[in-house]
Amino acid sequence: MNQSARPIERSILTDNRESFSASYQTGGAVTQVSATEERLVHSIDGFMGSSRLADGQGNHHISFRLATADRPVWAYTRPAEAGLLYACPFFKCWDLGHRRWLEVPGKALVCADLNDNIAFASIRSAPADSAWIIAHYVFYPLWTQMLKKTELYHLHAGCVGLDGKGLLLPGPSGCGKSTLSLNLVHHGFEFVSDDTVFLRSSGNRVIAEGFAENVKVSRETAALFSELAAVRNQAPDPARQKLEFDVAGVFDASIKGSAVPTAIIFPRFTRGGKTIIKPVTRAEALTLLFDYSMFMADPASSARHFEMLTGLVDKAACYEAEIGADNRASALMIRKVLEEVPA
Amino acid sequence: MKKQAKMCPRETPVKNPRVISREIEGQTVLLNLESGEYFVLNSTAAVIWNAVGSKSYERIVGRVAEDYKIGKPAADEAVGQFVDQLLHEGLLCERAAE
Repeated sequence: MNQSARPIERSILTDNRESFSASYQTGGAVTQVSATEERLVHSIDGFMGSSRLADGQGNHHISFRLATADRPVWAYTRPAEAGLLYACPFFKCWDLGHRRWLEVPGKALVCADLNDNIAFASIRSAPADSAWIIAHYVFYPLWTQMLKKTELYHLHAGCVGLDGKGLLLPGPSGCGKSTLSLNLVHHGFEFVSDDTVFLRSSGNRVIAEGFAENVKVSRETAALFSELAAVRNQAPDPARQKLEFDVAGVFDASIKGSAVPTAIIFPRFTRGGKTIIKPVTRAEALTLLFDYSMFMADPASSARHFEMLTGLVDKAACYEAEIGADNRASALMIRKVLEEVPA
Repeated sequence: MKKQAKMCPRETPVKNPRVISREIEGQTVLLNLESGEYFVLNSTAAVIWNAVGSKSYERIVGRVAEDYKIGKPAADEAVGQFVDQLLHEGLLCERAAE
């Protein structure tokens, strides 16, 4: 499925400039992405495309606007008194009150107002393969912060379901969340997400909303599943050498939009040996969940986020797993774990 | 960075209002809402953390000396080091003006 080929809505502004836009729904929140160039919207659309709304002009909760640096629409100014909130090898984020400034060195400058839920990004002219960087480093970090205003809290986790019970698989990039999620789907579990969920409260329950991004796997993972025979013949994306596919179109699996997590397993692949699953304390599980959440928000949102995660570990059974090469055995062990936890 | 320890008199530490805590199965988890940094306290540290703000420094030292059956100088040193660490991490701060 090539979502990037879908047309992007074009309009002419009052000053005769072109504007391109598309809107996406995530767990009930609507995000409108607009830009001065169509390719910038396509960058986000390749990432968010399967949650795209047919009518792009509906009421939206979040507005994310992009422009190229050589045709600026707004000025980026980070005040000296803004404090460094977060730094990683790919970007840095500063904050001051409800404002955020994000800098992706050599690529983009972004500022966001978390009260108004609006962000402006200035993108340096870059080759077409920068789409992944625009989606993941420019858009995603601040978008997840703005989603908190709509009470949706990001968690880096796969999620599957079985007989009405949800299983979260949180972990860092590259830990094997996608491989394990697909292995469980191959063995009869329902698919919710392989990489990202958004947590929300509903009464006294925590619900994990799936994120409609296509699954991306390495050739090594694709070789593990007979369902991915055709996918293995695709050309990988040039930036990350990953093969991309839509689970619904490849696996004979039930796809769920959301699940109520009754168990959490923190997976770690050992690339050999047998799978071992053992319980972790709820406090340990909570701190691991902190590692896979992004707390770059205002303190009030972070407090609600904290309560959401403590509510989750209060209700779900928590385990860590060393996932071995015994795919069928590990799926059966995880099935048994999930069957034994109360709904 | 917001992690600035503010020196305050040893006898008047208070919790940083931007730090949220939760006891889960005997372990206390703290989260600094501004920095996103988190900490897990063992039971001794949790006794001190829970007493901060409601008891004087001297009473906290007395409680630790009694609970762990150690002399007051040893308890003073242990509590003092822990309070210094909490100040350094920004989990405690200066008492608000009354």
